[in-house]
Formats: sequence, C-alpha cells, structure tokens
Amino acid sequence: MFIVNGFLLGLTTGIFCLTWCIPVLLPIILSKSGKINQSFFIFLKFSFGRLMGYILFGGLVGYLGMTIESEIVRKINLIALIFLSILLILYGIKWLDRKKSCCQFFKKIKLPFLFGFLTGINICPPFLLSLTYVFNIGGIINGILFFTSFFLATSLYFVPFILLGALGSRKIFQKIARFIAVFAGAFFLIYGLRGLFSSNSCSACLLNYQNQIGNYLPLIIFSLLFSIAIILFFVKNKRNFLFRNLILLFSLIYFGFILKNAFCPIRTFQLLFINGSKIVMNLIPFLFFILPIILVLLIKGKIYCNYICPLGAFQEFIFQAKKPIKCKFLSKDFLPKGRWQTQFKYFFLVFIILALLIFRQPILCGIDPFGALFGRFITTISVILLVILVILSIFIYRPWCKFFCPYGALLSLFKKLSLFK
Amino acid sequence: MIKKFFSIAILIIVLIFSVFYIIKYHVVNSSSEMLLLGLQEASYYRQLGGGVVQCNLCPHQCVLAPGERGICRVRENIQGKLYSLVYNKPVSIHLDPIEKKPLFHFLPGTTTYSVATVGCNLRCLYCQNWEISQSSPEDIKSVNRTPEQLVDEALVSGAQSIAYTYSEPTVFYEYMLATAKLAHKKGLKNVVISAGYINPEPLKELCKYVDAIKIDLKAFNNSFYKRIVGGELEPVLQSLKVIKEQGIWLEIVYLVIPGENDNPEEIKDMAQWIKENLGENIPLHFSRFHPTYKLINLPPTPKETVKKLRQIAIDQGLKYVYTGNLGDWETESTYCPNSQEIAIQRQGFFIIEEDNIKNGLCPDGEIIPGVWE
Repeated sequence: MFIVNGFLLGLTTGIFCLTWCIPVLLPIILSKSGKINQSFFIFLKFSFGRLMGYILFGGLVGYLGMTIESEIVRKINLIALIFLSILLILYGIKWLDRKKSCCQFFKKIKLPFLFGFLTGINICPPFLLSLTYVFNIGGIINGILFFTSFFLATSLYFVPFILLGALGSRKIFQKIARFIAVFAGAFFLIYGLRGLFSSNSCSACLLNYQNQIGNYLPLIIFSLLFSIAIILFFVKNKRNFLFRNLILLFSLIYFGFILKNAFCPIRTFQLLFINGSKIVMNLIPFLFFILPIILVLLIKGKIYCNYICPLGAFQEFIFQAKKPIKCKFLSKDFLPKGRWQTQFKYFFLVFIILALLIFRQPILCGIDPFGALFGRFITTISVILLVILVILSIFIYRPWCKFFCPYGALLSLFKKLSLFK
Repeated sequence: MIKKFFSIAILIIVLIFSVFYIIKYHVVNSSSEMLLLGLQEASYYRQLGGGVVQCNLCPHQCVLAPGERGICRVRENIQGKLYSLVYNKPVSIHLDPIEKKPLFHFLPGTTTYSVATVGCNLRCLYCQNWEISQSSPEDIKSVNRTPEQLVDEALVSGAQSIAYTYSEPTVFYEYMLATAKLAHKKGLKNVVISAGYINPEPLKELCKYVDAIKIDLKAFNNSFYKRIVGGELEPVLQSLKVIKEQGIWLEIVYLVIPGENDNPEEIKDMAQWIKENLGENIPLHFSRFHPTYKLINLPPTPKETVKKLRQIAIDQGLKYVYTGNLGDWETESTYCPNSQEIAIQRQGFFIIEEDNIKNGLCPDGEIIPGVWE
C-alpha cells in the first residue's frame, strides 16, 4: 500500500525533481567524465547526498515538530538555496578546481555529494510533499517503505540524463555544462534572495497546489516519450520500427484523441505572430513548442516529427496500411519530380507568416483537417479537407508534413544549425 | 566555428528563457489564488485530463490548454478549470423600450432593463456593438453588480423585464442564468437577445427561466456565416427549433445587407423554412443595415429592398413581418391577421396607438400570438 502510494506520488511529481535538480546535476555529469559508468557513479553520489539531506532535514523538522510552511523552515530552505547557487557559480567558473585557492575544504568532500545534499535540504517540493504524507501516516517502517519507493520513482526520471554523460567527452559540452551551471546558479541566487527579502512568495508554495499536479501530466508524458525517442534515435536496433510505431500510436491516442490536439505546436506557432506576449504565459503549450526546437538544435534529426507528432502519426499509419494490401497502383508515384518537392514547404511557411501578420488571426485553425479528425472543431470545409488528406496520404508519404506543415519547415530550418550529427 | 557559436548562443538564450518562464510561472501560480476569488467557475465544460478542458457552451467547442482563453475572450482555463471572467461585471446597463430590441409581441410599450458584458463568440464584420463585443475584459472598465443588485435596480427603474443584450448573452451565460432565476422570483420577466450560436443543452436550461428570445438570423446561407459572421448556420437553426420546442416566445431579426444577403430566393427559402419548422406566427423583422465596423465600404440598404423582402415573406405565408430602422409606420405596425386593421401602430421604437388590442385580442376576437401581460 505505502509502496504503491509512494511510487505513484514519485512518478507524478518527478517532473518537479527534474526542474529543480537537473540544473544542478547536469553540469556535474557533463563536465566530469566521458563514460557512462563514471557518470552513473556521480549520479549515485548525488542521489546519496540528496537522500541524506532529505533524512536530516526531515528528521530535524519532525523532531522540532514544525510545520512545513513555517517561517523558520522557509528561511533555512532559502539560505541553503543561496549557498547552493553560489557554489554552482563558483563551480561554473572553475574556481573550485584551483589548487591554490583557500578552499582545500571542498577538495576533501565529494562535490556531487555536497550538491546532492544541498538540493536535498532546500526547496525540492516533491520531497516536502511526501514528508507531510509520512508524518500523517506515522510509523517508522511505513515511513521508510513509503520513502524508499518515492525516492526510487523520482530517480527514474534521472536515468536518461545519465546517458548524457557520454556527451561529456567532447570539450564543447563541458563548456555548455559550465555555462548552465553559472546561469542556473544565478537564477537560483536571484530566486533565493528575492524569497528571503519578501514575505509573500514562499518556496514551499507549490504544496498548496497538490491537486494541480495532474495538470502537468501531458508535459511529463511528453518528456518521457522524448527520452525514449532520443534513445531509439541513437541506439540502432532491428525493432526500432516497431517501437517507433508504438510511440506514434500512443501519441496519436493520448495527444490526439484524448487531449484533442490541445498542445499542437502549430497553434502556438500561429499565436506567436498574433499575440506573442501572451503565449509565453501558457507554460505547457510553450514548452511543447520550444522543446522540439531545442532538441533539433542539439541533434540533427527531426525527432518530434518522426516519433511524436500525432498529426504525422495519423498520416504515417494510413501510408503503412497499404503495405499488406500489395496493390501496385497504390504505390505509384505520380508527383512531378524536382526540387520543388523539398522547397515547397518553405514557400508555404513564408506565405503563412505573411498571412498571419496581415490578418492577425490563426488562419490555419479555421480550416484545420485535424480539427475535424480529433473532434475539436468540425466544419464542412475541414471535413472535406480531411477526406482529401486521407486519400492523399495513401499515395504520398505524409503529404501534410511534406508540403504544408509550417512547424515542420521551421524545424527543418533549425536542423541546418544543429550542433552535431 | 561560427555555426557552432551561433547554435550555442541560441541554445543558451532559449535555456535562460525557459528557466525564467518556469520560475515566473510558479510565481504566477502562487499568487493566482487571490485572482480566483472573484471568478465564477463556468458551467458546461469538460475536463479532458492533463489540465485541458473543452468548453461545451457554444458550437465552437473550444479546446483550451491551461492559461488559454476561448474565442469569446471571456472564458479562461485557469489551472485546469474553466472560469467565466465576466461574472458580476457588466459594462453596459441601460433602460430601453422593448421595441428597440426589437420585440413587438412582448409587453408592447414597456421598458426593459438592458445588461451586457464584454465578449462575443462571433466576429460579425458589421457588428453594431463592436466596442464591447470584440474586446477583452481588461480593455473596458466594468462596474460591479451582483445578480441581486441588478434585479433590485431593475425593480426600482420601473422596467417590467430584464434584457440580456447588446453583445452576446451566451458568453456571460452563468451571470445571465443567475440573474434570470432571481428576476423570476421577484416577478420580473427575462428577455434574451442573441445570435443563437449556442449548444442545445445550455439553451434548454436557459429556457426554463426566460420569457422571450430574439434571435438574430444573419443570413440563410452557410458561406455568409463563414465569411462575415465567423460561425456556421446549422447551429443557429438548431437553436431556433429548440426554442420553439420549449415554448418560449420567439422573434427573428434579419439584417439586410445589400449585395450580401438580400437574395430574394434565399429569403423565400428562409420564409418557407420558418413556416415549416417554427410556424407562421413567428414575427420576422427585416432590418436596415447602416455601415459600421469593418463593413463601411457598403452603402446603407435601400428602403425599397427591405420592403420588397418583407412582401416576399408575407407572400410565403408568414403573418407578422415587420421592417426595422426605416421609420415607416405602415410596415412597422401590427395588423390583425384577418381584418387587416391596425392593432398596434408604431413608429421607430415607440408606440403611437394601441387602442385596437387588449391582451392580444383584436376587436373582432382574433388572437394575436405573443406575451401580453
């Protein structure tokens, strides 16, 4: 019972662990090593430090009988946060590596452990959540059971990032890692100082929104699918095709039919030109838009289009469905050959951007054939377009993606700038 | 080398922005509880899971991710729940004659307490009230009126009914429903002036508390609705049938725009449709168009066109067909169906004479359908 509860809570809140811990963990992993097993040890040390921080802090709070939202706890959190951020900045500018520096103290302590310990003490909201739960149910064994499973579940999210350790062999990534450390440190510092001097915002405020965590579920699933897709992209395997279809199918059902394509990046793309300032306020759609771009800048390959996009999935399955039928007529290529096949989508992109700037309306939404498919907005035009699309996708591989999708064209443009192949 | 530097620069900028927005979002989240205090949760919406909701109030059926607003601009998804942003916040309150709405067979000569908030789920290019209907709640200063205050003020003003009008009452549905329930208890009647772009279920619920509805039928072809109104024709026709089924007094207004929806064949079809589905007793008003908002390139409708269309509708068998915005008493007055005597003589929004009618009865005992007391 407690094991299951803890595991589920860990799974649902794990994304917060990512947002708070990754800025700290990632620089250490990236800058230290080039091998996966080495980064795995760093991760273990970090986790151990985190666990120790949790236990110490939790024990202290429990012993003193304080509530999580009390002023003193908040101050401790924030001071730990500020300390952590200063340490991160120093780490980023390689100050800790200098032999002559006065900080021989830091040499003796394992750095990953220290970082983990500090993140454990401060603001990690999922931990505080589970802590309150443990205090409520009482009993040491129950607490430990609950806690271990919770810890394991949250750690699951870190596993893909261990693989990133392999990137550390390249100098350029070590540099990026240090940049990340400095920036993350700076932001944590600002956040901590702000919290320390203002009485309103509290670091544990997230606790008041326990019920809202379900709202982040699409984002969690999205990033999970992405991690799997990245692994599939790098690890060549015979069954890749099958796995890819499974991811596509899942995405088609969940993002397409259940959520009715609410987070479609094409929509965000259009809104960006109409009311740019407002769209960034809507965190989740914005992340759905920006994450594939970040990824395509890192990795030369349209992972979003190939593995996740529900629109692509729909056309893909129609195209694949004709394989068992074995009718020659269906696989006939009747399109005129030439460079226009690859270039048309760029012209369409320019056209769409101009139209958006002139009309100031999400013009693609009104005629969207996928709106009719997912039951978002059914009009006669969109139904007709849907039928045309279905017929076309039998003959052409992903007609929408190939010729029209503005977001796909954008990704193709960014692909030319991507860091490595 | 430059390429790589460029990519890294973009990457870092994006990273900064993402971290910044994540933090900002958390801060927004922690302060938004104060914001939620004044808001009313919307009715008729469905949670799709993962914080996504679908509004089922009007045929647009907007799917909204957290933080997004619907087409009407006044219903927002905040943390996985849909809220109405205009509850208790009307922007326009006036005392109008009921003929101005226009409702000709509903308590003639009385005044009605008219209320509107911002927002509309349509985008008519010739909107008469575009200052309020095509705005967001932040753009226009509103006053605070709870349904109780509104009903009390209406009683003091001497109006016999409350009208939900000007912009589009569908978008402030919750506010309208609460006020209508209260008004019914206090003995006031409720009048809804709408374009009818609403789903059947909320409309049926509304019909329990409403005494008369005026529907603006913009045209009788779908392409007009698509090009100029920003909606579809079919849901409006559906709404008309539902109102008829529920037994609520219904009047239809048709604004004639020269060259856009003044085709006599269409008018004939429309009159036929009304006669078959709604009955011959439904009053139909042909209103004259004056250039406004985005359709200022068109001329005002010629008076003859409006009168001609009225004659077509009468020829198809509709009994009460009027003109509007003409200032012509002959075509704006109500006649007894058989004897063709003038029952109510009107000019503009005002009644000149109504000696010939008592409680909807002509001198020779004929009944003129409507709500008379």
